[in-house]
Amino acid sequence: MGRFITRRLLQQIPILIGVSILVFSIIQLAPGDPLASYTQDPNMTKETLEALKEAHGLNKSPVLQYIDYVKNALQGNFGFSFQLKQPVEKLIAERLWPTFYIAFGSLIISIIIAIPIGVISATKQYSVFDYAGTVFALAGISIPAFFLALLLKKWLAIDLRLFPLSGIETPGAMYTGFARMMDYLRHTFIPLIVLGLTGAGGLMRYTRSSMLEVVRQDYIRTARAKGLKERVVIYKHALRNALIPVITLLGFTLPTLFSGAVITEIMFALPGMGKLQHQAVMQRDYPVLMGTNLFLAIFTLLGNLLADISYALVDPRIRLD
Amino acid sequence: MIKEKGQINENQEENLATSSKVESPWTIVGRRLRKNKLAMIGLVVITILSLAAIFAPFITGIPRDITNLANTNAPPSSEHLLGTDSLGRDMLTRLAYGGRISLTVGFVSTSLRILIGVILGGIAGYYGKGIDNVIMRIADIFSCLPFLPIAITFVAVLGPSIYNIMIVLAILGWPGIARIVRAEILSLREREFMEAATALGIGDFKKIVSHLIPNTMASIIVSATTGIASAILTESALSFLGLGVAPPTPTWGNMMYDAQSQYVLKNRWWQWVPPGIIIFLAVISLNLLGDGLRDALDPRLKQ
Repeated sequence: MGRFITRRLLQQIPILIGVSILVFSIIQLAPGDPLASYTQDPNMTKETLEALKEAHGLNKSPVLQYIDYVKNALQGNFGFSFQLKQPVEKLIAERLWPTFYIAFGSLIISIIIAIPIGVISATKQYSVFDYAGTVFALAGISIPAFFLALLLKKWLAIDLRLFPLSGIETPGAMYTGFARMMDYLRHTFIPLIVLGLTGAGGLMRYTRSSMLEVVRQDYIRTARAKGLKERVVIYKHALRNALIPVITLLGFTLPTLFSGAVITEIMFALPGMGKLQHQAVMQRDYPVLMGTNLFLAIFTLLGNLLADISYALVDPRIRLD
Repeated sequence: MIKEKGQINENQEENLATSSKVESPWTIVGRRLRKNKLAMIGLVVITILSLAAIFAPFITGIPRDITNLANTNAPPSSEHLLGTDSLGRDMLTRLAYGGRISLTVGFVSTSLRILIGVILGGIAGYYGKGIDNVIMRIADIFSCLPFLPIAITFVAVLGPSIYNIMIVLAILGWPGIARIVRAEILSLREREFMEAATALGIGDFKKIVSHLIPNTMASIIVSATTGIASAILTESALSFLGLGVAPPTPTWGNMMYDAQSQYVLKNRWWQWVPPGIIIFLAVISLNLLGDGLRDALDPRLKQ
């Protein structure tokens, strides 16, 4: 197992280099340079601007700039935001946990909704429950997350006044402990539900079809034939095997959630990576854009890796290849 | 195999024709698809939406961008069936025109994606070894890019235009198609009809284009249908955030831009609910059609 993980980790390195080159190239396509905002500053002389450019290596060729960037990044230095006047790694570190919280929170909601419904749908194939579940899953896949967010915001936050409209906590309330946690939960309830519901659709369909495949296997017939209770057959013998592919899917869902969180973070003014990214786009803050994209790409890689490893953990056959 | 029919002598061919009517695979697929009610509903809805987009000028007869500052934010009435927006433009008219952009973005970006995916996946699958390795590692890299953030960055850097959106959707989406095509070609390559093709001295290019790719069409069509759906979702989300297609060109997504304001959200449902429902309808229809096509093309997968 250790060898498997090491090999997988090593395989991610060239991919990570490729991803960083791609992201760097996209940012390089931008007109102007990170110092563009300074050119409007009347106190900024041409000489200072040149000196700043020199100091940040902006006069070098893109290839050399990339090498510089990697060298610095390896030392934990991801550049400097000229708009926010702060180092990029600090900005990202501050915004990391709201994004993680939203991504993992909504993943848990998706799992709680999707897996039981998927399993029951499969065991009662073609029943009313199955039909309703299938429609629900399809609707979850098809509804634009931002539209669902608008609907819930209008209904739960504006009409019923059950939840706050935006933000991650009540400003100035200074709650501590449990009260603070509940405050967070109240503020993020709608975004969590939105991402949880839209994510549940795919997961539910996947669980259902995986379960349907497993219950047709010979060993399930054997389990039934030896007189096991249906409950034991389904939840002990079938479910375990049906969940193997579902676990892989979860690993792949995580990155989607990180990037999907962008929409909800912007709509609900949650101070996460997505919001930071949006701000950077609006202010043309290229060092920040480079940093957020790179970090989100690393999360994607880690998500895939996690999927691989968990797959190998639950299914020993995988480790052989 | 069907292609070689011409080489069977005429006598035999006549016998074949009289003994049993040979149906082409596509006729069979069409018949199976027609039996699937949900898929047919999807097909009908998406056809209606496309027709409304094509014939947009005739839906209300009101010009798309004509502003009327005396009649802004008007609720639905007999004159403006879905009310007007903040500049007094007719919502229904803009919804129909918006369909042109949203559906075109979905269709064109998916076609581009398939083009790149089929070419690279085809080459990787057919030649294998080193080329395969290089192409598939590049595919790995592209599929590790975080989708929405990169799309937002790309559009922000190059400017919000319909072309940039199509390009970024294609660039981010091709690895999925390439993997499907590659996997299928890897197995098709070893089949007897390919051996026959080699024996006949057919060149690589022709082998890939006229013998291998057509056999992967079924999977490509299925993933194209659902691909259009997700392209529409992405475009609408980007445009809704003001990071997609720029106004005054209407798309279903950017028409909802105003709903980011709490006031509009609370008081003017007609400015955001109809476009949202239309996006939902378009996407769910394409997904239903995609599911139906998958079942029709490969009944073994049907559950």
